[in-house]
Amino acid sequence: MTNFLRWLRWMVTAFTLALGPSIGHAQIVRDSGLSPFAKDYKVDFAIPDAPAFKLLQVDESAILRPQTVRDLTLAVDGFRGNNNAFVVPKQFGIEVSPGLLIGAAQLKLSDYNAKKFLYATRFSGATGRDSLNRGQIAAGVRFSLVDEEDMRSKGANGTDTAVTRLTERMRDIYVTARLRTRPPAPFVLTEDEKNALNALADSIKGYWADHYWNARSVEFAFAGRALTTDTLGHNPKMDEIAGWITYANGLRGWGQFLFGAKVGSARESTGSFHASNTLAARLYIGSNALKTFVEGQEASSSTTQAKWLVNSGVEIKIPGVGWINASAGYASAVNGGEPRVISSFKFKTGVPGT
Amino acid sequence: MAVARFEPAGGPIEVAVSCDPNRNGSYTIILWEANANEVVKKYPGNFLNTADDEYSLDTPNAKHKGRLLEAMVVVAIPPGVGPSDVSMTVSQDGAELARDERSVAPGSPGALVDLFVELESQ
Repeated sequence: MTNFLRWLRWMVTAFTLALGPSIGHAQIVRDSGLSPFAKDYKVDFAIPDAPAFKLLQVDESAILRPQTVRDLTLAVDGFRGNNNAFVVPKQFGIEVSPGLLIGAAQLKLSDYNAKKFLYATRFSGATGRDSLNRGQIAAGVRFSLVDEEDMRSKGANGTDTAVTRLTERMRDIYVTARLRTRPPAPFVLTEDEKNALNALADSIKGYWADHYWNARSVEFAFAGRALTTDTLGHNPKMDEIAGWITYANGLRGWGQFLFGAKVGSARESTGSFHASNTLAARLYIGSNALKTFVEGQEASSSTTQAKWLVNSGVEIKIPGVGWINASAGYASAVNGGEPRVISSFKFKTGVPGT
Repeated sequence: MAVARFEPAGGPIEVAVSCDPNRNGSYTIILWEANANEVVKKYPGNFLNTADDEYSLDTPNAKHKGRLLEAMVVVAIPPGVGPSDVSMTVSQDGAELARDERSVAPGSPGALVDLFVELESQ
């Protein structure tokens, strides 16, 4: 267990410091035309909390936001120390799609689509410290049941003039190249033409990100968390298990509504387990790169979570780097007493790329 | 390569491009001269309106013998939907003479589909 904790922290730190910022636009450079590989067509949607990261109680929101799969994502939280000063983060999370990560270099787009459920299955691990400075470790798995199925209703069915104009510019480049050589001989693109095609393909991906960030999706996930007696992971003791299901759908181009449930069991201060079930709803307003949200949730029969919570925040894309989430709100005290202010600040990045 | 054997005395040769299910895209059909690096005519279009993607080649038909039809189609198929079949069909008097077709996977931000049909007289 100690070795696992050390390995996980090393991996997260190494990726965050070394690979996270080394990001640029994916360049599709092939001898002719665009790449057949799935890795070249990732759309930069926001990065949600992984199930394991969520169980570290990085915030008090219980909803697990669904999102399109990425090969590997990293999240860090717990930037605040005493007197609200910024400190080395206390919590690290990692989520990986083994299928995407292992075969990413050679995975064809057609193969990815044929086994999408498999590739969209993600495993997560997280480690951190709680308010009593005890070590926390968590592991989880997430599945996508529905992802972006409503794109037909958003102009993808051939009626979107903006995307059509971009394809016309790509077509004109191909036709110009073709007119230099009569078929059946293959035509050859110049470097300038390849660069122009890649730029236009990136424009289409950016357009998709702006228009489909709020597409309909349904996900479910499971995770478990253990507490350890120290930060080295000694004497792990199961502390909470949970399952989530979340439904998300778009509100035209400007919003997204999420409705989710969390069911599970958590250890009380007395040492015994008790049901910990929560219903939550969240509304995002904005665009892919910048959006605000408001949410509310209510826990039933839980002695480890706030009875109710209202929260709001922002999600900002830092091009080429990652995503920042910041939120603040009010929550009831877990064991009675006055409501209290809650806040959260998270940084997430995908590896490689944004 | 698909070959369309047309009737010189028949009706006009029709060439059509389609994307099924329809997605955002555009195309140019190029009619190449027989055995020469020369373009006879180009037919550009897009899939905003699928009712205008069929063209009649100029008559008389006999002059099309040995010519080559090439359709360069660029389609953008977002992730999360199914693949689309992009095809070029050559027909005459309501009968399909030849077809070339390719499937494009979802998540393709502007994939080129290059289709060919050679024209020969019966």
